[in-house]
Amino acid sequence: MPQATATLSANPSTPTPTAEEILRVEDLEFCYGKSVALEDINLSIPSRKVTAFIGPSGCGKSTLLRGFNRMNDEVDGARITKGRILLEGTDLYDPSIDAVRLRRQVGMVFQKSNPFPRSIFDNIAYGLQIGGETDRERIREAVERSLRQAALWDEVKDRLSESAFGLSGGQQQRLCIARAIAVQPSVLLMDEPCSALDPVATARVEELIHKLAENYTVVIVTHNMQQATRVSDLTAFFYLGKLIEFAPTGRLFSSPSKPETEAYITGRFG
Amino acid sequence: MNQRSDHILSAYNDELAALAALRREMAGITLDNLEQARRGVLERCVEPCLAAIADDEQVNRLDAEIEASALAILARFHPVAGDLREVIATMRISTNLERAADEAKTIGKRGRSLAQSGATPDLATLEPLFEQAVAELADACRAFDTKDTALAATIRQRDKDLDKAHKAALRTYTESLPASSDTAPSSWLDLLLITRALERIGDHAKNIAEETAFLVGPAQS
Ligand SMILES: Nc1ncnc2c1ncn2[C@@H]1O[C@H](COP(=O)(O)OP(=O)(O)OP(=O)(O)O)[C@@H](O)[C@H]1O
Ligand SMILES: [Mg+2]
Repeated sequence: MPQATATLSANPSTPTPTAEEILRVEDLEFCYGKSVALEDINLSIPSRKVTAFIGPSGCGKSTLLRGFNRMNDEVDGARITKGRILLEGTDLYDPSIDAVRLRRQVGMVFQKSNPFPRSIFDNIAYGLQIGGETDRERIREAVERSLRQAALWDEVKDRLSESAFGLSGGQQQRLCIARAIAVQPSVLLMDEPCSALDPVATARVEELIHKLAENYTVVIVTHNMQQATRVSDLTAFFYLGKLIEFAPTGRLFSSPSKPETEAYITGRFG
Repeated sequence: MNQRSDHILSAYNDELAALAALRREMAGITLDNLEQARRGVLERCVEPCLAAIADDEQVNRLDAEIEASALAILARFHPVAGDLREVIATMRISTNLERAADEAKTIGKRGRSLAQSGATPDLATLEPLFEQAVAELADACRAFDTKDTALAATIRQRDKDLDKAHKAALRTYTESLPASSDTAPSSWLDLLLITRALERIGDHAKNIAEETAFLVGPAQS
């Protein structure tokens, strides 16, 4: 699909805001050294909805996702070269922003579940303790609440002191989600959270994502198109570092308005 | 990039192509049946009427086949966008074709009855109605096959014209009924039912024509 994007508008229409906006991307351009990974990105992500990012490998989904909690800060030469990203109206890259605190407010769950080599309980308590919580009872409550919200409590309540590595892949992934929500973030970023899970574990995580949207804003990157249609309220399609189309999921997958979107989601690419 | 290009998954591609082939076959047979019924009525000939009646079974079978194959595609390949709209549109077109073929069968039955009756009823009024209904259905199917939204757009007005012609025909028949002496009452009924069947075929053609715009959708190449 060469040059096709050149004729596209730089501002794919943002869906009518039915919900309050939490994240806003304005005219964003992002580079790794001299190479441009994202350009002309304008996007408004509504609060307490699930927004999915789809697009072929290398189109910049993870880069944008990591931009939302400044995970790119750790990459040499990676920087915003134009535009800005706002979280509830505040520029995330303002020098006054504490990136560590930001990452508590904008949590992240990765493709490979990455529990610490500690007990199930400690995996969740750890983040709370780092955050300055010392009250044992409050920590215990928060651990239980997060495990319940992550739909894992019933499966682990009798083995909280056992190693997190004794859990199945799907349980480990839900543990990581519990860990991320224990600190009560407002946004939860997920980069291919189910790609290492079997269909049943995937269904559990998808159900969980759906439930999480009652309290959190979820932004999920997925290569699984059916997953995007199942879990998300809105879908953004990226191609070659550009946002091609952003629309309510049902509409994007039934009547996309851009031929690039059509070609990609129907599998007629290239 | 061409959205009409092949799907990467060849099995999916083949299934979509097979579904489209079934749809075209069903449209072809339905139009044939209608053509046979027209000949049977206008030429007062029993044989073609019988063909229109008998071949309706084939259309019913294709309708069932299209439904089964569309369901299988939905279950196996989860079509989206243009593919999804094509599958859904094909199911709806199939329903309309099945009903249009039922109407052709009705015309066949009435044509047989007319041909067997001794009287010579007024067939001149029917001729243009047949002309319009057949052309409308044929164009509606062709517009969908070729994604010709302009052709599809003409159908709406043409169907209104057919409706008017249908009403005018009914008037002609009811007005001339008392005056006419050499036409049996059952033949008048045959004419009325054929007229109504043609009007309904126009309605199905209109429904099919509307699927073209749905199929093409908002994506602009
Ligand atoms: N650390 C890095 N250093 C240099 N270039 C990078 C780095 N990370 C990503 N890129 C480049 O930026 C572009 C976007 O990459 P990104 O990882 O955001 O894509 P993606 O859409 O998440 O792809 P995938 O679906 O494969 O995960 C790619 O061209 C990639 O090669
Ligand atoms: Mg990625």
